[in-house]
Amino acid sequence: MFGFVDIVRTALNIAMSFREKLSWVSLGGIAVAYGPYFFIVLALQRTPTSLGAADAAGILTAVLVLTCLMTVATIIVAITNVRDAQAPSDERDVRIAGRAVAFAYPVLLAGVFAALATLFFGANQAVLINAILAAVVLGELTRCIFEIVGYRTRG
Amino acid sequence: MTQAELGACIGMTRQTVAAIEAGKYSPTLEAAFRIAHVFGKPLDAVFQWDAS
Repeated sequence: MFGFVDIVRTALNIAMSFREKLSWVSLGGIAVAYGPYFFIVLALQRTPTSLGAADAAGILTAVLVLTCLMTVATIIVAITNVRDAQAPSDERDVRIAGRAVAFAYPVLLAGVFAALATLFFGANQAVLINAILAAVVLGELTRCIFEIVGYRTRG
Repeated sequence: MTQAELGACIGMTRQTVAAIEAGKYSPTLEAAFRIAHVFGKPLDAVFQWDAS
């Protein structure tokens, strides 16, 4: 157990800025929170005529899991290097974040329009809401990935 | 002077200073002037541009 903590502490203190660590945390959190949710949605392939309590509970659970994971992980990352966490974003952070959003926004837009297009193919409420949620998740994943790529390459 | 100290002087993170030193990031002109000012050197003594 002590060795595992040492490994985690070392991994958290390698040459990554605080904001790059947050990008990794976001990426992992989204995967853990929404991966199982969409796996279950696709595996069940239910076609309810309207949304029910189960659908709402599933989405709420994914949101709560993500919120809790992000909160705990961010606190852990901040505690391991308080000075980095307190430092404001610098020009490189702002540039990388801006570029990541520039890539993520078209993905989000395309996903939302694709989700709306499902209505023309007879999609019901459940399909529409999950398609929109998938668009949001894909947009966020794109943002996190391009932030990480920006930090790892010539950001 | 450490990377963290230089970063504190010019308003950048230690990791950004490291990226500049490694050639992985090109700072803005203002940041480049600040770095040169910290070292008391002219800009072209601190930064060189390879045209190739």
